[in-house]
Amino acid sequence: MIIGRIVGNIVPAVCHPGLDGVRLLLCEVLDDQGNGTGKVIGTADWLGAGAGNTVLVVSDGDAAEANTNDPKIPLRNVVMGIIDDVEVDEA
Amino acid sequence: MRFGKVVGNVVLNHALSELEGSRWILVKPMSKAQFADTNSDEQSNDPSLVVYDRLGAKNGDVVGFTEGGEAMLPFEERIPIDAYNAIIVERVNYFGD
Repeated sequence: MIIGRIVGNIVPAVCHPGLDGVRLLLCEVLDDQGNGTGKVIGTADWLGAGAGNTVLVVSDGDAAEANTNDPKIPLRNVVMGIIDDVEVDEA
Repeated sequence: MRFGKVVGNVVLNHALSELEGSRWILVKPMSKAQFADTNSDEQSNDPSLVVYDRLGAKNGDVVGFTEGGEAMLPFEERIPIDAYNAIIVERVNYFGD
């Protein structure tokens, strides 16, 4: 699972039928200190994460299948949680 | 899911039997700056990759593609691919920094 910050969303013109109506957000992967790493990925979202939220993103297809019970969706990244606080030990 | 711009396509003359008649587009992954302004010339240094395409993306389109094992899910039988074009993007709303 990775930590990311929501930095945008995507409006599809044409998409795989399984992804029709799925909320697609842009999420920048964060490093330990919470700063952006410049790597932006797309994630599906059923939790209603908003702009600037720090989120927990999984990159396995089974999570998408659990949310939509459609095993045919080509989707990996799903928002699994909205993070309240991250504590990093400066060891 | 990563996003990239279609920069070309690939035609195979020999391929595995399961891959007959499929369409392959060459996609250059987008850098963070390109999300803010799609024709900014700050390119990402990720290499371009070949993506299986059934949506009919043309050159210059922004596409969202799924990588890894999940790229095989839309197919009845297990096809050996690892990048599948899932979205042709209409609009990118970017409000990061």
